[in-house]
Amino acid sequence: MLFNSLEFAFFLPIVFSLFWFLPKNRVTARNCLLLIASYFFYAWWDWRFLTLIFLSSLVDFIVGRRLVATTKNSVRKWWLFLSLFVNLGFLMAFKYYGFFVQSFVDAFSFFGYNFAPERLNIVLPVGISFYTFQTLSYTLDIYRGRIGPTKKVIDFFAYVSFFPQLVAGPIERASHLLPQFRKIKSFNFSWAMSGFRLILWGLFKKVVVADNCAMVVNQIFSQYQEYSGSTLLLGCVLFGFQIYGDFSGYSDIAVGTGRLFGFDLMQNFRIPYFSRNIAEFWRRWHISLTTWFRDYLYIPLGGSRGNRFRTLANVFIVFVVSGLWHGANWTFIAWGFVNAMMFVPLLLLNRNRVYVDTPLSGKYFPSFQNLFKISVTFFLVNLSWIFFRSETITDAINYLGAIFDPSIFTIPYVFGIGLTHIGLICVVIMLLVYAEWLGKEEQQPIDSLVTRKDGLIYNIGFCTILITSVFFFGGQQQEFIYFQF
Amino acid sequence: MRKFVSIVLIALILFTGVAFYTFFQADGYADSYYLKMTKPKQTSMVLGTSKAAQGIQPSELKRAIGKDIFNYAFNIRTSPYGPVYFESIRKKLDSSTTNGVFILTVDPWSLSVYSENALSIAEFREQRTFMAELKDVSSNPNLEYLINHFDGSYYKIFKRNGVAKVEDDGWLHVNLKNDIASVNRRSRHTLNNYKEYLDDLEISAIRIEWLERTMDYLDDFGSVYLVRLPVHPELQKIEDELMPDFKLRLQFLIDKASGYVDLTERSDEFQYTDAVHLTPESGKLVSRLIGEWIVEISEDNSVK
Repeated sequence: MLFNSLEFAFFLPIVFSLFWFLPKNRVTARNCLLLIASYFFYAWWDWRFLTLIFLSSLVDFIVGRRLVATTKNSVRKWWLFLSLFVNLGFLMAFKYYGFFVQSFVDAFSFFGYNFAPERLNIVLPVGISFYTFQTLSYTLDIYRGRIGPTKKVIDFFAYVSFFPQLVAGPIERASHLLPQFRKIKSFNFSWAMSGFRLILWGLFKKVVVADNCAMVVNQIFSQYQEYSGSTLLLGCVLFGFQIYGDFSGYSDIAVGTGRLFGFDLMQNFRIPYFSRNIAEFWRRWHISLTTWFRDYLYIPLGGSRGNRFRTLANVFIVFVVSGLWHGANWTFIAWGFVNAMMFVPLLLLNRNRVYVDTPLSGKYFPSFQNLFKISVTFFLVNLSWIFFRSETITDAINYLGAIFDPSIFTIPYVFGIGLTHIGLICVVIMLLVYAEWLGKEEQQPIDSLVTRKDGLIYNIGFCTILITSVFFFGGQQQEFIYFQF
Repeated sequence: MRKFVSIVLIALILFTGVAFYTFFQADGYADSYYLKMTKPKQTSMVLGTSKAAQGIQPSELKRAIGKDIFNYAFNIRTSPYGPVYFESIRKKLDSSTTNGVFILTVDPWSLSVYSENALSIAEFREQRTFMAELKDVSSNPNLEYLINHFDGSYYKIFKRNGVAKVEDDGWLHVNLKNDIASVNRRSRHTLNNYKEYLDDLEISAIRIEWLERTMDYLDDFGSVYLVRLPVHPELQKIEDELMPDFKLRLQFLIDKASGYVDLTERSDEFQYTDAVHLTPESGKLVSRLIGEWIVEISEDNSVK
């Protein structure tokens, strides 16, 4: 079920009403409801793959219990191995099997050995990368003694499948989300209202910003050979806003929906396009994934504790694996590699942790120097998105090459897209940038636009304007990009 | 809780008011198809893809034939001949019609399918479009269309300076820049697209069978004419490659029809906006030719 669909518009109020209709001390009953709702939400797409979520949850629930039942390290390792085998096995089988087989075939055919192995047309289960990482973090944290296992099977199953963040994150940690399922929740007007505003803002980002950009981006990337350098640059920048609007919009809706039920989901984006270097960008983009890789891959590999070479190798491993996580295609691996290449100079110069505060905190206008840094970072990030968006690495390289052509100084032209549409996109992007800039110090930037957060008239006006904007200016419906991961 | 629900409900009610006001403003400017789905059932129709939607002007036909004809042609994706278009035509036709005129434009594209699902009607390209999903094609406003199938953003409903407008008789009036550079750019783009289609499409016996069924069905309500519209010579080459035996394969249908005219023989006489679609001026000329040709055939038939 898509967040930007009519089905979800009916589904959400029904679950919301049932949830708050149940007495507040009936925590398990409420969790049961959330579990059923979440499975229904997922089954709307394909009920058969519920078995994967169910099995993954079951294995990790049992493993979690077994890990604390014994103190013998070898036994604990076996239980951990079981969890890793099942979860990563599902991921490998459903997401990467075809990719690896094809890569082997290509590699052998390069040396003149042609063969055609058995191919399986495996459908990629929506959100498998997200819930696999979420449930894995539970087992890994128990193994390391950071958290204890839950005894409540319903709570755990609801935590793994919690519908607001089931298919595209944020990837929650058990230590943060699981205890919230045990808490007795009373309805809180301010919290719910902020959730509703966030849902509408997320819809705006997705439907108005991302979907409108997508129309232009799809047109340009599908026939990039025909366009001038300036048009290709436009396509690249618009893709930057499309993917941001799409994914951060999804995260906003997820966090907002969680708040409607009294939950606090983690912030997944923190104004990433105002970053002053690539390292800062990666602390602000897809935070739940970046921190996951930091905690469960980078640090176990040794992090920055070894020599310089080892640290660099770890950085490359994390970026490349992160690229592969996004999709079974060499373009994603190349994208990860390019980002590592941009990150490494900062690491070598010890500049990777220079910007850890809010960009230009307390300032209304950036200085020229900061504006330059932000622009350069934005430009580099957008160039790297070309690898992310292209079908093949060859396409990406050709696209990049065609940007830096004398035609970059011509006026962009996109076939079949009117000036009104381009104008509309520019206006909504400016609105998005302005709102995020104003709210750069808030946990959720949209809150900066609401001065009287509890006012009746103010909230009615704000919500009506946002819903109407989504209605009037929404582009053609597109799936969320991150659903495919 | 009460305050929260009140805010949400009031905001939704206000929004619903705005949405309904917008829906009632939708007309021929809204998108390229909406108006066609709001007009009442018809007695005479022009059928086919976007070539016919833009190329045949019912007002010109009326001048020759003296009858109201509605242009119920759409595009290559939604209205190739097949069960979906047939069903939509059936819904749009006034069943009390006795002496209707039905102009069915034919070309290889409207008889083609993607090779990968050539044998499965359920996988035909029009199956996931409004043509297959709309239950009602004659209500005004057509809420089902506006809510589920409207093409793009709703602000366009209020836009009055777009390049396309569907006239009351169903003709899609498209006004594009007609300087040589713009026409060449569009033509190049369109020809590239059609060359790509060539790799993926093949002529479908199923579609030809459904064209026959459509003709047989309409034959009970009036006269059925087959027309092949003119196209740019470059596109003509692509069409010939896709279906070199066009006339031969359709001969049995041509024999069944009240008349058949192939205007591709006169392609050089007309102008195109993008190698596929006729300019409004050329469309006017072509429509007049078709109208006069129908009158001629009718007179011949009545003499016989």
